[in-house]
Amino acid sequence: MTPSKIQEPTAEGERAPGPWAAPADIGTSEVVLTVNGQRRAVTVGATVADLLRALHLDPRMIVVEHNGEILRRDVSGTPRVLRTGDTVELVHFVGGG
Amino acid sequence: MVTAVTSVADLSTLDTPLTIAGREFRSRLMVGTGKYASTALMRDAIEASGAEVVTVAVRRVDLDRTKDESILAHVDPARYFLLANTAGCYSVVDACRYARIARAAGFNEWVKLEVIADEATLLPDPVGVVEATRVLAAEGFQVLAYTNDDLVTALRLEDAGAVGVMPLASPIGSGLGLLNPYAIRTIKHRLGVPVIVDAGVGTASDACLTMEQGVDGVLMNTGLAAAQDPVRMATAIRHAITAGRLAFLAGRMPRREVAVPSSPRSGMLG
Repeated sequence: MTPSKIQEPTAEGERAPGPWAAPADIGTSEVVLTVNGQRRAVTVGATVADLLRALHLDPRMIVVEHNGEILRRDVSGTPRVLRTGDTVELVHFVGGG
Repeated sequence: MVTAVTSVADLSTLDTPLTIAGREFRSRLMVGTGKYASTALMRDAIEASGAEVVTVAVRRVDLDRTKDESILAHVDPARYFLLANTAGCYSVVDACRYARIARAAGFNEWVKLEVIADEATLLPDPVGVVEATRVLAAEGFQVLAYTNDDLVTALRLEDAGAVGVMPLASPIGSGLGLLNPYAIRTIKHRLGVPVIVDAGVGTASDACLTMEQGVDGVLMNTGLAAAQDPVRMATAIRHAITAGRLAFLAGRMPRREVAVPSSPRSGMLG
C-alpha cells in the first residue's frame, strides 16, 4: 500500500508540529526575505535549496551567502530554513579582469 | 576571423615555466574575461592567447535573466586555471568577503586581490591591499596582490604573505602601456616572489617591453577585448610575451650614443 502523504491531525483541530514552524512566522503563510537586494516571498518552511530550485539556479554554478555566512556548495545536504528578514546573496563568476 | 596560430616554437629549452607558489604554468600571459563583444569572441581570443590562467569576477546572479549567465558556461574550468578577482571592492572587508565567496566556489584557493582606492583612476589602496593580503594569507589563500608600481608597497605585500605581486603598468583599462619601466624593474629586482604586471598593457609592443624588464608575466584584459580584432591581438600578444621574455633572457646589447659600424672599416677599395 502506498503511504499517504497527507499528515493526519494528531488531535481535534491540532496540526502536527513541523520543524519549519518558526516562531516569527507563526500565523503567516509566507516568509519575506531579501535575495540579491530584492524582496521576495517564499512559503513557510522553504529552505535555501528550495529557493534555488524556485529560481531555476544550478547550485553547482553559484555560491550562497545566507545572513553573511557562506554556505557549503552542497546546499541540498545542509537544509537551511529561510526566515522572515533573512538576507541571501546568490553569487557566481562573471567576466572580469 | 583569423584562427589561432598554435605553432609557437618549443620554449622548454629556452625558458623555465612560470612558477607561482609551487605551481607551474605553461604561459607567462594571463588574460581576463571582461568586456568582450561576445562570448564566442572571448573564447576564441583566450584560445589564441595561449593563456592558462584566466581571471573572473565575483558578482550577484541577475535574478531577472539567469539563463547561461555564468562565465563557467564559456570558460572550461577543467582546461583553464580560474583566478577570481576582487575587482570593485573598495575596502579590506569587502575584498576579503569576495575572496571567501570565490574560494567557496571550490576551484582553488587563489585570489587576484584588488582593493581599489579611487573611482576615477581605479588606483589601488596600498594600505588596504597589504592588510587584506595579511588576512587572506593567514586563511590559507594564495594571494596575488594588485598594487601600484611602488617598491615599498610591493615589499610589504611580500612580507604580508603574497605569493605574487601584480604592479600596474598604467591604470586599469587605460591602455597607456608601461609608464615606469624603471619602477617595474626595481620591483622585480628586489622581490623574491613572482612579479606579474597587470593593467594598462595596450598592445604587443607594450607587452614585449614589459617582459623585457625581466618580470615573470603579464596580465591583460582590455588590451585584447577592446582591440578591433581580439583574436589577432591575442595572437600578437602571445608572441610579444615570448619575444620580450626571450629578449630579456638573451640580454640586450648596451646602449651607446655613438655609431659603431657593423661592416669592416678596412678593405675599402682604393
